Amino acid sequence: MRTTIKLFALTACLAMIAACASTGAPATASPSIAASSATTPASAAPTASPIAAPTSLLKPGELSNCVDIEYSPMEFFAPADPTKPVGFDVESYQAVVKKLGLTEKIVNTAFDGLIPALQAGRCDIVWTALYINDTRLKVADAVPYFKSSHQVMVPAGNPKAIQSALDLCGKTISIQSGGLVQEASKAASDACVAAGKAAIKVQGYPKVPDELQQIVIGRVDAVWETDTAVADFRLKNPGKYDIAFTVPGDFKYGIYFGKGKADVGTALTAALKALKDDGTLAGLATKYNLDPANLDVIQ
Amino acid sequence: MNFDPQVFVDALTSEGYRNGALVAIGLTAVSQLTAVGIGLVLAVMRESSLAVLRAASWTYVWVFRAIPTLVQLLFFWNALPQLIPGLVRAEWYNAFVAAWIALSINEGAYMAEIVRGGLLSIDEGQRLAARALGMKPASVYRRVILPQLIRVIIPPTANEFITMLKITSLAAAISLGELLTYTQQSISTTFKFAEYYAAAAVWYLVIVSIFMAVQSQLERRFRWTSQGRRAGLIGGLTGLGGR
Repeated sequence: MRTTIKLFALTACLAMIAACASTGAPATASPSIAASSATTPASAAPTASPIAAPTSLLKPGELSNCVDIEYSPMEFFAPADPTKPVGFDVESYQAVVKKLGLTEKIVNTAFDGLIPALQAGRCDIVWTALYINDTRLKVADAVPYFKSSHQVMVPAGNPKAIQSALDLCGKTISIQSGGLVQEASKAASDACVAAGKAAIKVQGYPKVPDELQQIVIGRVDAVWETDTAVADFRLKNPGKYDIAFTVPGDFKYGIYFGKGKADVGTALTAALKALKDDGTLAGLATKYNLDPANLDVIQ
Repeated sequence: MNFDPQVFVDALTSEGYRNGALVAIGLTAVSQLTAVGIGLVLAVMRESSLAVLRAASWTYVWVFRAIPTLVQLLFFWNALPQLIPGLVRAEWYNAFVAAWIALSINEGAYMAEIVRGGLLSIDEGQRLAARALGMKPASVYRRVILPQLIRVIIPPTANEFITMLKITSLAAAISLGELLTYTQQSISTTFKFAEYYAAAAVWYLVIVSIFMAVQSQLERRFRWTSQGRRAGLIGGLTGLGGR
């Protein structure tokens, strides 16, 4: 599957920095570079001194963050105050900003415009549950902060007995269009056709709520989404939906920043590490019904 | 300058763009034609001597012009099946049909006003004169009012047609992908903005050019002549009228 190949490529990149550099990508393209360079100043100064704030910020003293605020539980507007962004990403970001002694600025940005905003210099970082993948790494750098996987969610009791991707052949599913799931579901559908079965009828929706509404009204047999979104939806609809299976393969959410801005990557990594070690991030994960073990990707 | 001509050409000739364009043109055509029909009926109702018909027409225009098009699309796709469970799994009720219904109903309200404006532009004396000649009310409409009406409403209707072409991109919200959806999805995986948007712009220019050619053809058919051409509504649209 194409997605798997991409993952392998990414893993290979992470494992062998030299390999990445030799393929022409600047060394800073690899998240592991940012991670490893972060440990250097830390080991040079073993005292728990405050983490140095990045110097290449668009506006000195402010870490601006472009967020697509409509992905509960990662980023969404507080129901009690529809002008206040909350969620795991948002509150982790606020903790990092505090740790770095900077001021916060959240810019609500549509999904399609997130990476372009980084390229155009409208934001210092994009921290909004974006997977780390090679196409994005070509135009931006990232540090990982949370592990994630895809799940296929079905109505309670799994009436169509869906256990694996092949069971989806001939069934109708809804997904969010334009993301990794689109590629993965297309590959799964191609596998159905290759096995002589009917293709998967995939309905792509730009917005997650519209995607999830399809299983509510019963138009689709299953929803293929990230584990974070599925957990949130099941929490809000207790007992109504089950997880049919978890799609093999792990993904990492990353904080993206401008290409080559190693100082931003270094500061983010150091701050994430400190907040992971003192339990702040685990507390936020628990607060939003996420598994703190997924924070292991922070190193 | 950072513009890759090869990416642009590949996008322009890709199957995705062609399919997207076909969806956009098809949805525009069926929705706008249905809307013209709805608009004609509503405008005639608005002139009716029956108060209930006038009120119904006014209410329709009020409601469907007020509610945003996107909300109507989402309503017909996501909310209506909640109210009418039979629609959920109905094979015929796919995203295209839902978009067709929603866009037609929405656009019908605008067309009603355009047709009403056309009717207002035809002097009352025409109707009276036709009646005085002994024509039945239905004949008056078909032979006197409609040929003049069509001539007047062609330019604003062509405007609506072109607007509708762009409105079809809203149907992405209900999983119906057309030209712009495909463009944005391509960009979200390649980040080649200039190339893909330029390719989409070329496609839109071509499509609108075709619409404009059809418009000028229609205008030629309904051009005013005092030669007593016997092309009625059907004849005018199909070119089958006696010349």
